[in-house]
Amino acid sequence: MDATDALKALEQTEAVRREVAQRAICPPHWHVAFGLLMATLIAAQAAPPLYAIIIMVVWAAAFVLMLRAIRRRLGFFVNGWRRGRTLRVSIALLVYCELLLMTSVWLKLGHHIGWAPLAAAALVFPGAVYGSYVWQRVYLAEMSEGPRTLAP
Amino acid sequence: MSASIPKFDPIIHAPARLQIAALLCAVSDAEFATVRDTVGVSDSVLSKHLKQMEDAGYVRLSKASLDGRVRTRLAMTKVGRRAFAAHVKALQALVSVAEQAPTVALLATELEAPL
Repeated sequence: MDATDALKALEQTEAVRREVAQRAICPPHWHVAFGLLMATLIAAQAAPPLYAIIIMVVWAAAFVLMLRAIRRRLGFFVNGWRRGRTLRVSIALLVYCELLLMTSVWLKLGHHIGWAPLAAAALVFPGAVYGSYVWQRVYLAEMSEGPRTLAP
Repeated sequence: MSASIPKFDPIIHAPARLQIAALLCAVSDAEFATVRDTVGVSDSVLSKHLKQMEDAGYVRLSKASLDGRVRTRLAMTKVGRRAFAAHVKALQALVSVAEQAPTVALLATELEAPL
């Protein structure tokens, strides 16, 4: 193998990554659906225990359906917790949602503010939608950069 | 000063397997049909390549049901991802050496030239 072959091989890998990146672009309603899922998870804390359990069961079913829809449309799946620069976005989003969840539960149980989880959910929704957009943008950038970032 | 010789992975070296590895390293898992269409090979050719990669421990195959049909999912293992990264590094090293070669040759010519 000479340098020309090596360059051609690298270009092939770049082309594959670009193709994956193009396919991985999600329509806007997927980001909204993700935001709704995250917001529902928080809002469920406002409901009485029995209703909260029912909401969680429906939530889990919706989550599975969403994953299936993603797999069906893309033909592949990219884990949100994959290694790479996207991991920082995932962690930031988790911390944001966890903080709001804990605060709302503390306000509800400690200070009897029953609507606190609903207020937290209203904040989680736009944050999760935005986080989902940012995650995708970072992933696309990583895929378009070429083989320098191919390390696992 | 000694230049290290790039070590190419014999499993990933073939163009089709390099593309398969590039795709699988970019995702968590992919369906057989997606990989086949992206790489542009037939089912049987892809199966042969995957067999070699699976035997080397680079790829993991699993069956999953979606829409009432059993589909084959492919995922790159940690060993495979490491091998692919090392192979790409070797390719980059070769290209880099070739890019530097004209500069080195020019410097040598200038040093040898009479003042």
